[in-house]
Amino acid sequence: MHIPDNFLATPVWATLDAIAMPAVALVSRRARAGTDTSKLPLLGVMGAFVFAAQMINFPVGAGTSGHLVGGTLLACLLGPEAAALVVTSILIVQALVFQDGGVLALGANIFNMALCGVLAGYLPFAWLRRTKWKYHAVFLGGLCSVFVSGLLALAELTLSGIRMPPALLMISGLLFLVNAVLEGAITTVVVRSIERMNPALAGDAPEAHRRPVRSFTGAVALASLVLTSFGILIASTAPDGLEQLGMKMGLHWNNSPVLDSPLASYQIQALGATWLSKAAAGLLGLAAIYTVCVLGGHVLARARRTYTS
Amino acid sequence: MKLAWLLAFVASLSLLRVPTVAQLAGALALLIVIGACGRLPLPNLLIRAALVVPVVGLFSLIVYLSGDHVRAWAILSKTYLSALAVLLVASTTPLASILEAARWYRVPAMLVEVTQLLHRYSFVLSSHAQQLRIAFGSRGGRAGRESFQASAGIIAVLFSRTYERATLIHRAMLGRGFDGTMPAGKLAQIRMADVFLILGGVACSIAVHLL
Repeated sequence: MHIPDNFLATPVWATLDAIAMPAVALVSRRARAGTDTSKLPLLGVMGAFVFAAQMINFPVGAGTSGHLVGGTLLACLLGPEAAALVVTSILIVQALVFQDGGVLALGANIFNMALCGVLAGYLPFAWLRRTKWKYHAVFLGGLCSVFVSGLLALAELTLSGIRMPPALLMISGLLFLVNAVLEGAITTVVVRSIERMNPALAGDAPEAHRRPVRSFTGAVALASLVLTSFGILIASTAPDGLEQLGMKMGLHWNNSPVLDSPLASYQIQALGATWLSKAAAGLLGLAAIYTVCVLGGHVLARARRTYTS
Repeated sequence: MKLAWLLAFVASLSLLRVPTVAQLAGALALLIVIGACGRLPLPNLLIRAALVVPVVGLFSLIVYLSGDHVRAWAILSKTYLSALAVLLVASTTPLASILEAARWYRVPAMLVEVTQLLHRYSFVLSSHAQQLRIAFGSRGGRAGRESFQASAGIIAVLFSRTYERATLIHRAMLGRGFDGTMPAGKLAQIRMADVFLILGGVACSIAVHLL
């Protein structure tokens, strides 16, 4: 969704512009380092291809049709950095020439679609491109790309104070999901057609640099640590829906647990209900989840190597 | 300079939390005066800027129905004025000049070059896509399950031809002395009159707050 100017509150668009500017500079530098000069015309022309491809309608029944958005397709064919750069170029041309999306809101649109959308579209493909789940990964990438972009736009509108009733938020989410499924289906069919026509073209995408995935993982890890340690200070202490229902019905399921844990109720029992107790319990839980995920990932990777060898 | 004015104008509008009728009228008057000085077809511009209204109108309606009438009106009016301002700049400045100016503002060169090539070839490839659509229709293609596959095939053909075209473009660029970076175009010389005009425009954009 292309956000026009004066939709978002000033702090929201200013923050997103401040995030997008260095991010685009970084992506440009990585794209230049990762491609040789012969690919420069290819990147420009691929952007024009996405423009043209959006004119081709895909019938989806009930008299409606959809069209390709293209972020995931570009990521699969060119790699994530080049795709992010091309999508940024597309957004700039759309804003300046076609008045589709604002000028000051360019930062928000670039953040949603060129950065987060392309990354969300590329990650499933990067993880599963050499397995039998390749086309499922392309579908999932297309779905995630559009869905993530749409959700981010909704979140930014909400942060800007545009209060949408819950029913309308649900409907908007569902519409984004339908568009996301459509994008996944179209992208998958197009990638298969391209591979059938010329396998060399589809296999030309460079492997993503390891660094972007590591940087992203590092950023997520840092955000998790910060939220776990300090989120408690702003978290609501009101009971959740289920607990409230239990209280109204007179249920007391916490009184006799089957297993006693030193971290029950997300706090270290010995330290009482202090901030330090809750933060420490949260961090210990985070470490436990991380360990389980890493071990599980090793097991899956070993199983995948066994399959492909 | 026009980019600087555009950003200042849109930012100034954005900072008007609860714009009064006088402020909106002043901003609109400023844009109309600029359009008239540029000898642009004003009715066409005013209508074309209204293309944002259907999308923005829906959200304005949501805000209106939630009870915030003032905010709803502010979103609709400010978005329209911003679209009109962008249209004025786009109508009086070739995109190539805007991109050269962006390069001067230290926008990454690779981004500028890709955008230049994208703009140059988007119309060529769009007409090519149109031809493929017509060819599909003239061969009996119609909406249905098979046409979903066929549309994907059209895009695959378009992609293949785009890839070949990119190779030809690169060879043509090499033949014209391309060394890895596209040469920067010459920016028009800035005269004192231009500086005063743009500063005047920025001042007027800020003065709208005083109305």
